[in-house]
Amino acid sequence: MGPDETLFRDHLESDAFLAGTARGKWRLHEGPEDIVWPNPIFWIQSAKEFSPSGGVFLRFDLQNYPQQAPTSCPWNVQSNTRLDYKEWPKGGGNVSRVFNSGWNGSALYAPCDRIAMVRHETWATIHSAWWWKSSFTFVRYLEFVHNCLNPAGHEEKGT
Amino acid sequence: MKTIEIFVTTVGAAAPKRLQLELEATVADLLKAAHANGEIEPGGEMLVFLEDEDEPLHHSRKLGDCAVQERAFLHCHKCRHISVTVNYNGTKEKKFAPSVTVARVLKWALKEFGLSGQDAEDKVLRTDAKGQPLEPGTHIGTLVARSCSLALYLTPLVLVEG
Repeated sequence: MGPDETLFRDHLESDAFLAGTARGKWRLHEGPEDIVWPNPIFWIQSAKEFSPSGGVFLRFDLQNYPQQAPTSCPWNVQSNTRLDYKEWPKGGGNVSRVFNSGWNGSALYAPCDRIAMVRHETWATIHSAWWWKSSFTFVRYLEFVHNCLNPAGHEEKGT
Repeated sequence: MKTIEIFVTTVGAAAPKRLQLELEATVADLLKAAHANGEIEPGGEMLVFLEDEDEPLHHSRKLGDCAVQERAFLHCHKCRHISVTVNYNGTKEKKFAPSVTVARVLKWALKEFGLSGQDAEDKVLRTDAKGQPLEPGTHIGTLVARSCSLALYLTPLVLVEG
């Protein structure tokens, strides 16, 4: 097991990750023993208006974690393939900006995603809290996506 | 004896600390355990709140008797209330318990300023007008170290674009 995977598995036991799991914000898909490195899959909660199932699975690429930023792609865990673009989360705020299959069909348009960070250096200032640093853990990426899909001021329609 | 896992936050802590305690343990035991792990400054009266609850828990009560359940989130703070001021197109003020989340303060502020729908969805709270947006799950008690007052700014969400 390489140092990236070893560190990732340590972070799976971190209080920050487990607190989010306890809140129902996210969870690891299947068990730690099922991880096919470097591609763990996480489920992240979403307001149903943005994702009717109430969440989205993301398949990560954590090669050289955490020196290299993560990248992730919405995933269909039944077929084990990229989620059909029609099923990607959609909505206002940053939802359709971050889940933008028209930009790149295999990554999120996010300041903590290594593919999106390329040629977006201005985000290091504008989105400094989210711009990936090697001191971050993958929980920071999960937080970004969770905040995007669950704006605190959002109220589910019909409630 | 049944053991439960709980998450405790306090002043200055970025993330809650996970603790395992018996249901028979008292709130004072909880404080001691949290202190043993370095989360709480020694000395002085420390209050313990359940998340989003207004009343502190009595130190002599057992966790199992005061609705502290598996995976509960608690907050330790010296302030009984935090006087929160939110600035937008005016100022609104209200006292909240330290264990209240930023999300709850935001919902209150949106209502006070008459914002709903898209106008509400793209708003976030910050501790200064140009700072980073606060995480919705953050307990407001973590944002004030010494005083029992907190000034916040209701601002638009910064979009990911460019």
